[in-house]
Amino acid sequence: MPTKGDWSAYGGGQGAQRYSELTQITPANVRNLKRVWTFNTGDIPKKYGSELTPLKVGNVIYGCTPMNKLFALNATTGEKLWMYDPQVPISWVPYTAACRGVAFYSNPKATAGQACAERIIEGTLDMRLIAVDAKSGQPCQDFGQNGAADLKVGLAQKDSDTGTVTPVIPGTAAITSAPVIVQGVIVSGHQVLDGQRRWAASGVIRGYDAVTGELRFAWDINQPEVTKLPPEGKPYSMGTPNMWTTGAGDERLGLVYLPMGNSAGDYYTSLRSDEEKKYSSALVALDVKTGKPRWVFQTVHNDVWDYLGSQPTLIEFPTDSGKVPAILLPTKHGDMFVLDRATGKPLHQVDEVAVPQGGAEPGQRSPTQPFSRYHTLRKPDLVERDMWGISPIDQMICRINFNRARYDGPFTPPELGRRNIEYPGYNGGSDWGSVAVDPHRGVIIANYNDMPNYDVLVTRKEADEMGLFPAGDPRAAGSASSAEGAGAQTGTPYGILVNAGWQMPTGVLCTRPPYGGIRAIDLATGKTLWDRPFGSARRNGPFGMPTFIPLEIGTPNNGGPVVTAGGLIFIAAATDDLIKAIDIKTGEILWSDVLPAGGQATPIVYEQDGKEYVVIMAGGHHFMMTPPGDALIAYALPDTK
Amino acid sequence: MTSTIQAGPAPTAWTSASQKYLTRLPALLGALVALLGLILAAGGAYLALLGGSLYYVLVGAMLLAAGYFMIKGRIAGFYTYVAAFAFTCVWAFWEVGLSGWQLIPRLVGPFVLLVLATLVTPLLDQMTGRRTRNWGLVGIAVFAAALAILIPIFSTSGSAPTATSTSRRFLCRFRVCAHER
Repeated sequence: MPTKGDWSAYGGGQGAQRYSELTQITPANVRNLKRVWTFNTGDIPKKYGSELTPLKVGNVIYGCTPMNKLFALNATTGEKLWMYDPQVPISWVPYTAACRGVAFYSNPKATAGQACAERIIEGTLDMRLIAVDAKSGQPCQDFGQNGAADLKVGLAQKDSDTGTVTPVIPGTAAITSAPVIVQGVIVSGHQVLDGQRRWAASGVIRGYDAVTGELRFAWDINQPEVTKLPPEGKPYSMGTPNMWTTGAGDERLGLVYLPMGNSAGDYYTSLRSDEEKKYSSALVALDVKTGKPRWVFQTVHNDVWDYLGSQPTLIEFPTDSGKVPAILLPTKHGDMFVLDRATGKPLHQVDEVAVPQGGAEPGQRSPTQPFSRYHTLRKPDLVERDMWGISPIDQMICRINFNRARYDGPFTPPELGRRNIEYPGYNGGSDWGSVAVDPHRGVIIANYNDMPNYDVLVTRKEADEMGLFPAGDPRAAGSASSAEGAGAQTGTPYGILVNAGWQMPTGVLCTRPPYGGIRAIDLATGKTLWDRPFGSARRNGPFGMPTFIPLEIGTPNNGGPVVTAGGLIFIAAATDDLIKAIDIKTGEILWSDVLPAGGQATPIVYEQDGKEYVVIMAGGHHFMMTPPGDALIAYALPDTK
Repeated sequence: MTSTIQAGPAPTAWTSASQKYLTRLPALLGALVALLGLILAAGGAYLALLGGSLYYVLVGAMLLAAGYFMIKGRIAGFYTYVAAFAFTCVWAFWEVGLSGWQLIPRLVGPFVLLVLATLVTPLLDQMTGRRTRNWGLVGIAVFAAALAILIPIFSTSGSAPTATSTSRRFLCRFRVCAHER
C-alpha cells in the first residue's frame, strides 16, 4: 500500500496536487543535487514524446514507455526488475506516442501473496486496458481477456462521402493518459485524433472493474440510454467530446472529475447536438457507481478553439465559512476555476461577459463566455507592437498580418478566408501538465504558455486541393492533414489551417517573448505572488539554431511542476532541456541540470530508505522539437558522512 | 543581390583589384540600404493603409534616400542613415521602452548597418571622412555600452526576479533600479 513519501498516482496522490511532504532537499542544499541513477527504456519511436510521470509505491518505480511497455525499477538503484511488452502495433501511434502514466491498484479482497493482489494498470495506444502483477509484471489472469480489456469495442467512425461506418481506424483513437481509479472502478477516456472528421470515434467515457476488467458503465453523451455496450452492430455515438487528459478522483464522494474536450471537428460547431454543447469544454463530475453525471461546469460555451485540457486538483478551499472541499480547474484559455466538489458551484465570482460575434458560423457563437474573477493565466490582449521577428522586415510582415487577421481579444471566432488570431493558442494557458498545489503554504504553482495560434477555415474544395484528407482515406497517404496543424474536418463544410504559435518560415514567432512563464498564486485569494518568464534561450533561435544564451526568455513548455514541503518547485517542461529547482517563495532558479533530451514530462519526488529523490523522464517531444531520448533520471543529495 | 553587383571583369593585379572593390563598397552598401528601404517603404505603406504603424513607411523613405546618396558616393548618405537610425531609436524606445527582447528586431539590424555605414565614411568623404568614422565609432561604442548596462536594469519583460542580472543587483543596492511590479 502507498505510504508517505510515495508517488502513488499520476498527480502524486488521488487529489493530483503534485505535492510531496518531503523536506530533505531545501533551497539551502539543492545546489548539491547529483544524478544517482539513469534508466534507459530503449524505446524511442518516430513520433516521440514519452511525457511519462512514473509512480513510486513501496520500494518500486513503475512506468511505461512511449509504446506502452510497462516496467518496474528498484527505487534506490534504478535497476530494472521487470518489463512487460503489450505489443502495441506501430500503426496505432496517434499524434504522439505518449504514455503519460499508469495507475496502481491494491485489491482489497486479495489474500496475501495472491498474484495481482497489487497491480499496475495502463491504457494503451491501441485502446486496451492492461493489468499486470506489480511484483512480477505478468498479465493478471483475472482481468479481462488474459490481463487486457478491449476498449475498441463499440468505437467506429463514419465516412462522410460514402456514409459507411467502419471499426475505429488505428491511430485515430488512443489512450495516452493515466487512468483514474475510484472505488475500485478504472475510469478511462481516450484521445480522438484532432482535425480528421466530424463523425470520428466516440469520446465515450467508460468504467471498468479494477479486479475483473469487466465493463461497469459507459457514459455516451448522445445515447444516455446506453449504459454499457451499445446495441449489437451499433457504435457509441460518433464524434462526441472526449477526455484525452487525466481526470481526478474523489474516493469519499465516489466521483470522478473529467475535464472534457470538444466534439470532433473542433473548429466547426453547427453539427453538435445540444448534449454535446452542454458537455464540451466542461468539467463533469461522474458518479462511478452509475456512470451518470452529477454535475457539470462549463468553462467555454460552444467551444470552437480546442480549449480545456488540464487535470483538475482536489483542494480544501478556505472560505468565510471554513474550508470547503473543492476542485481547482486550470484551463487552456488561462482562467482558473475553483468549484465546490459536491455541487460544481464556483466558490468565487464568475462573470458572463459579452464576447465577439460573427465568424464562419454567426448563429452559433455564444453571446457571452464565463470569465473567472479568481485567477487567469491569460495576458492582456495582443496589440500591434507585440509583433516580433529578427529584423524590421519580418516584424513589419507580422504587423501587416496582425492587421489583416481578425482579432477581437479572446474568443475571436474562426473565419472563412480570413485568418483569426486565437490567443492563448491551444497549447495554453495551462495544458496537460496542469498545476501543483502546496496545501500548507496555500500556494498554487502554474507554468503556462503564452503564444497565439494563427488560424483560418478553408472550403472543402480548397481543403481537397491542399491534399487535406482524414486518416483512413486512401488519398491521405502523405497527406498534409495532421493533428497539430491542418485538418480536413470532413463531414463539416470546412477544413482548418492552424499555425501553432504563429511561426514565421524562419521558425521565429510573430509575437514577442516570453512564450512561457511560471507563477505562484495565493490559493485563498487567487492573487499572483510572483511571475517570471520560464525557459532559457540556450537551445532556441532562428532556423532552429541554438543561441547558447543562458537567459530566461520564456519558452513554450509542456509538462507540469512538482512542489515539496522543503520549499522547492521541480520542473523541466520548457524547450531548453533543463530540469530546474525553483524557490517557491521568490521564484528564483536555485539549481538546474542539462537533460540528455527534452524534459516534456512532470517530475516526481519520493523517499526511499530515508533519502529524497527527484525523478524526471527525458523523452523529448517531436512537435516541441526537443531532442528525442529514453532516459529516466533520478537525483538526490550526496550522502553526508 | 550582392553577387550581381560584384560581378565584373577579373582584375589583373591584387592591389588594383582590392582598390577597385574598396571604392565600390559605399555603392554596394547603398544598394543594400536602398533595397531594404524599398521593402520597408512598400510594406510600410500597405501597413499604414491597414491602419498600422507609420514608422515603416517613414523609415523606408529615409533609407531609400540614404541608399541613393551612398550609391552616388556622397557623405549625405551617411548622415541620412544616422538620422534614420536616431528616428528608429526614438520610435523603438517609445514603443517598447528598454525591453531587451523586444528591441532585438527593432535595433539589431539597423545597428549593424550603422556600423557598416560608419566604416565606409572615409570612402564617401576623403577630407573629413576618417574623423567622422572615428567619432562615429566612439558614439557607437558609447551607445552599445549604455544599452548593455541599461537594458538589464530596466528591462520590462516579466515582473520576475531576474537572477541573471548582476548589474541590476548592484544598482538596486544603491536604490536606483526600476521598481519591480
